[in-house]
Amino acid sequence: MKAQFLLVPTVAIVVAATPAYAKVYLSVEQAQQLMFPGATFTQQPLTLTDEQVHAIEKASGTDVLNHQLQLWKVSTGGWFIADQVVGKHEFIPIAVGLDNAGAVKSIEILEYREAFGDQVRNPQWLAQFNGKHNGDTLTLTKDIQNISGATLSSKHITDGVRRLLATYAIAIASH
Amino acid sequence: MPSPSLPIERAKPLLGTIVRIRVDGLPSSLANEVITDAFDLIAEIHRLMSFHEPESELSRLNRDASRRAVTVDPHTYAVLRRAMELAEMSDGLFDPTIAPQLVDDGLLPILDGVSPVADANWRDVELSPDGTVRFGKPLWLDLGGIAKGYAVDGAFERIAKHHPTRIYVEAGGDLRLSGPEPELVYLAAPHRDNAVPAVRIDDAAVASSGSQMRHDEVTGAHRVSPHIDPRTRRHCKTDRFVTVVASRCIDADALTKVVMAAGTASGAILDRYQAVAFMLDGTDWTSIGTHASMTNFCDP
Repeated sequence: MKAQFLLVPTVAIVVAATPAYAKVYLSVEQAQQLMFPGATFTQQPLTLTDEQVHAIEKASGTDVLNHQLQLWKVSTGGWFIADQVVGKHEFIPIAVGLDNAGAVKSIEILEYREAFGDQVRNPQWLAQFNGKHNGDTLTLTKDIQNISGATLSSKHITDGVRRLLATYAIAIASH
Repeated sequence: MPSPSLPIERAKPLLGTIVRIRVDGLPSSLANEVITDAFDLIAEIHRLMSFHEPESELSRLNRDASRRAVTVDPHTYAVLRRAMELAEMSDGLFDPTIAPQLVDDGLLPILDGVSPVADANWRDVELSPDGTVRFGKPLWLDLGGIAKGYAVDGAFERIAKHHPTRIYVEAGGDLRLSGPEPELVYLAAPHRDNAVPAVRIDDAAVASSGSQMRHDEVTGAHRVSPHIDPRTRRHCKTDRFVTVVASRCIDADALTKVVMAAGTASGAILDRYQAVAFMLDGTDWTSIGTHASMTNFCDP
């Protein structure tokens, strides 16, 4: 086992850690093909009514921010939804695949901007990296879980999926 | 000649955190297939060993194993076996039965059913070679300090069978990587002097532990250690941050708890696992373990 500890001067760090940094994992199309290989996707325009929004918020305990749904019907059965959940600092785009019965088939995080956890909140930490950008990965190791056993970001995603399941029951199942 | 395939990286919410997997050097369809397979394994381990899910196998153990022997999944058995081994080697500095203290602190939810007895510890957990588990006394097992590392290893090893050029598996700070070059892993530790702590590793796993800010309605935000010293069942120091590097993530993950409790006295056990630790105690970094090396202020 070889491991070397270093205190790296911040001026020497050339990484993408500006506030705008986001790691893009998958496009919507890539997520569609991963979840439903070989299927075709028909986008279904769906705008939630105020009554539906109210019902979804009541059922899921989570605020609905977009009344306009990014919803696709899948040729092989099921639904694909591209959505965003509110992270600690920014939106986290996610994709959720539902099977014919409206159960979660798969969840993918499409982009993630919060790779640096709590440090992002510290302006001094951020300032260190201003202007440094080469698309490389900055790996920070640390995790903070709360009583639910989840970090905030993962809790927000879980809440978002619960909201989408309520959305399915209230607005999509009958679509 | 085919062009080199692009790295594939994906992220999913699992294990109560964001799990990220990156694979380089495989055709994209194969890379996606092995990444999906790895995520599925992590999801299975999460379902089995979550303290928070009443339906998990671990919750079933906590309800039933003090009354009768319970047959567990090979994954759960493997994690328990490693947890018991480490508990024995560390003379209880790693102890997966400290959950009641964490429940008292509001760091874990209260379990319905059996209440643990105060003097229960890891010695009251009996593993039989037939794959069953039994508790000598009512107790609450929490594998939160070791199962995440096991999940990272499992995912990593599934991917490694396909021999990609680089693998990176990370679950909220617990990570294992391999690749053609040593890599720098920056640590989300408190830091000063315009320098960020980092470790340079090569085919290894890293796990870190520190204190967290907690909001109390009466006193406001304060720092609390989520770590309990099993000898005293009191909280570990709150100004300590520990990073452990080991070959396997399960060892790195579990050993952070040992170092958190024992500090510089954990050299011998780190050596037994061929692991090293870097510890921030207050304002100074210390390396622990024979194989550790420290270089301050060097270019990455």
